Amino acid sequence: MPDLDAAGDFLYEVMSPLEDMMLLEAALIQLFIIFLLARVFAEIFIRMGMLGQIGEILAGILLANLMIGDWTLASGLMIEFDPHEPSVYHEIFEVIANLGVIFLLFFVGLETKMSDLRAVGRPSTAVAVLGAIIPFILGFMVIYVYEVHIVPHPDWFDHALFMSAAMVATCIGITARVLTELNVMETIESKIIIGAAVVDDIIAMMILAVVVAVAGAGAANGGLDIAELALTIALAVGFVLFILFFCAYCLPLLRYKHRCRLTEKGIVCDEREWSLRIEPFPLAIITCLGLSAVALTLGLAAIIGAFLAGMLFAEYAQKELVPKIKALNGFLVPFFFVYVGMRVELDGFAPLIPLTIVVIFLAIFGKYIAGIIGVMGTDRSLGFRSGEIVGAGMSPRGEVGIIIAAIGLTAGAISREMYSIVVFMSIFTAMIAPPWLARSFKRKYTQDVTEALDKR
Amino acid sequence: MSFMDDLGNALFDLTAPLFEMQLMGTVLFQLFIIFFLARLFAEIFIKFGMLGQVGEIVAGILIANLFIGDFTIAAGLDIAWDPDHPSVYHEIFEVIANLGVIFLLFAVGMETRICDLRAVGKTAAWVAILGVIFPFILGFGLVFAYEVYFVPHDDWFIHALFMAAAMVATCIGITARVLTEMGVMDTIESRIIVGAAVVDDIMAMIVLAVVVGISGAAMAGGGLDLASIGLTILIALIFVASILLLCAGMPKIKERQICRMTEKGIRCQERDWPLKLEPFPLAMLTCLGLSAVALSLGLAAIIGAFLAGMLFAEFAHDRLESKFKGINAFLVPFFFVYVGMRVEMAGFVDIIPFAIATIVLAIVGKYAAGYLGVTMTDKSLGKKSGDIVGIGMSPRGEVGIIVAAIGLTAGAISRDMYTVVVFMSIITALIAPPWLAKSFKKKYLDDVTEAGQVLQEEVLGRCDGRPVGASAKPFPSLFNIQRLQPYLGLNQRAPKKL
Repeated sequence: MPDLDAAGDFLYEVMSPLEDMMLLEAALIQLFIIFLLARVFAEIFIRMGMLGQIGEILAGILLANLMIGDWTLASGLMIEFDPHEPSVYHEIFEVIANLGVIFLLFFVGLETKMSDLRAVGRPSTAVAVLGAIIPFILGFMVIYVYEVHIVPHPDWFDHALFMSAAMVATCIGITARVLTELNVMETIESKIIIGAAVVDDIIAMMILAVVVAVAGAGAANGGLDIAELALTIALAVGFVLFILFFCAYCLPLLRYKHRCRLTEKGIVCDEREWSLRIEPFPLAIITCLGLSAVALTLGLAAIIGAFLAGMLFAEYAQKELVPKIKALNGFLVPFFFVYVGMRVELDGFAPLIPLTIVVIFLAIFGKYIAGIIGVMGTDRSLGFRSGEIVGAGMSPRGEVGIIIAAIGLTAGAISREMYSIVVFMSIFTAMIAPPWLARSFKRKYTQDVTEALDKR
Repeated sequence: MSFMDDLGNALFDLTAPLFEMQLMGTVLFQLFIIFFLARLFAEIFIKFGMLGQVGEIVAGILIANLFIGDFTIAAGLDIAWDPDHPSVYHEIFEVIANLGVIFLLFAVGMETRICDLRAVGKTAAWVAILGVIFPFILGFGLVFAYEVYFVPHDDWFIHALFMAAAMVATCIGITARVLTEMGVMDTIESRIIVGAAVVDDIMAMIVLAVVVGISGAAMAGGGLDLASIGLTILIALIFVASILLLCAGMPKIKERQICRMTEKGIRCQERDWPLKLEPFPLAMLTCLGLSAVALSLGLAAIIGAFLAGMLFAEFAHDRLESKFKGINAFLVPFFFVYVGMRVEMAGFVDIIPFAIATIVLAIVGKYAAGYLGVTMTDKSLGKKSGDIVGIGMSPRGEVGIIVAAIGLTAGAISRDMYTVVVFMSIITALIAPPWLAKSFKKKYLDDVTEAGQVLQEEVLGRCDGRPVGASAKPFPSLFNIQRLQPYLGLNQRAPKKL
């Protein structure tokens, strides 16, 4: 391929001035190009009725995998992922991307209210618990079968753990968007889905905490030390439970503080959402950074801390914080999705396609079964079709699954191929679920929904 | 001393585990500690009625200069600034801080409307022009005198240029905040100040562009190459002018209407934002892109960011403002800490006289410009108005510091000079607000003592619905001219001679 090689060399030549620039200048140009590509792909995907994030991931995949000779855009920009010789620019990019995911999880936490959790009831809990157990077992099995019997790998245990953890978390964002657009938010199925997804998020965080602990203990000692492992798991679960307890019982005490003033009409008291004198936003950022750091110190993932920090603020300053955190995320999160895409390795992916298809199928199947059993087992009044709706609604995996895989990749617990499989699984489930959900709603509530669908 | 050394070493041991983590973990801890300290000091300063930013700068100064043995927080976190051996953590911190200042200048640019510029007219233009010339000459003269006669230095020319440039830019943010809090935004003096500050910002950017161009050429060639300087100035002017032209042309796009056929007939709406894309990502891209372009042209990144902000000023202002506030609330504290961290307190004692001279000249220059600009061009305004405008123009804030920081990074000024500029900015920013309040009071309250006093008491009696005394909030609630407007005839549409 002399032409492509020459073209690649030429492109390296074109971008070589970047190497001589001052740090800030080069970083600005890199950020500009990354952000531009991310937004272009996101806009294209949005126009086609898909999620912008998928476009951003795709931009990342192209950035790292579109080879012209030796040249890729990532290597031209000097932001390539190279574990052996990390460039300072890759590290800067990594920090920005990770700040993005931390604030993203803070935002997810901010949407997870304790009071919603309490109101969820039995069907949701059953769906969520089954929706965690069944995909976990299926994910574990498929890697077990593949890496023990078909392509033996010594680290199959770690791989299987992360793979199955990545298959647990439902992406509530996608489902909620579809439900809102279909105008069916008030149906019983939608409420079950949303409630189950919230519980699911928390279970996913707990599983992630445990998996990180197990993999960390395994990697540190070469083998599993049961006592140490138990300690790490206890710490992890203790940390999560402590914050949840704090959310549920300590914060409400603060909330109902009244502020009373003497006015001409007598004493007037008003209840305030936010009862401290400090502004909530800086406090939220401090809590988010702080708990993320604490979570890391305890051997958990930073995002667990960020998610819990978000939950702390969910019932409080949600109205004030949501627009600000959204703005911050509007800048930072695209970098994260590009970063996710950049780590996908298409080179040599072809032999893995059968495994990927099996994983995608099991990911959907697991949630679907959990939805049907969870709904029909707990509430006799709801039929098979409701179970189907809930199952379809629970099936999209989004950022959380990818994040778990990314953590595994960074920790060296899963291979780059496994990581690529998880990314594709998330992309496909996120793309399949919306039309499927719409159709199963239609089947049940034909008359109600037809109109809304036509408007779309 | 040995105790301090031991304590310092113990503290170093304490922070050592930070660096055994993965990169992201270490960075998270650093950001957490920096942000925490920044907000802590900001809150303390706000409680005392001062600017939060000053507190953040002080936090930065302490982080880098509070020695316990060899230990400083900056050294413990491995983010200390060391031009010879840059640590990766310092570089990450630097990029985050600089993103902060870029978005900050974008926000400043977004407040700078071309239509405001057109409205202020002659007086503001004179105040701005004199306000650039006087401080520039004074700053240049001061460094010239100091580095040629007192402490001779080979690079005095470049030092003098940067010092002079750092003394040019008024901080519109501080003044505007004070004016809003006093409720005197509608007075003629306030309009002159804001208009002049806007022109001032643009001229400061041009001066900065020229200074960066000259010093870059001088340092590259060893000597001054007139042709290359001319080229740089030309590029800078063309860049700024073309964006300004674009800004002026933007309102034409704005007036586009969308009309839809509805059940009630044809409905037309005028929209703030005519494109189908969302404004925020586009603003982000424009900001990053123009900053990068400005850097590539040899200008400062903030010039591009400022101009990008101006492009969006008349457009999606309302939608973007709150978003950039969110981003800046996270990123900008890192910038002010970064500013403070570069201040070097060791050996500062020797240059205190120089610092005092700088501060005095900085205030005198702007004051004289404001006073002369007002009294010369508008005979109807008296000495007291000149007083107000002169004081209102005197605070230098982030822009002066940014100019100095650019000079320091480029090696065009020494760390001592930089420290002097930072102190100059802090002190002018601290002095101006109470002084401005006093001179407003002198003009508007002394003239109408009786009415003023009665109303003043009434205003002092209620604050947020709570009864408060005069001492509860020393400055902003001291009086509120807006409520006096019907009595004083301050309404701009119906000016009445006092």
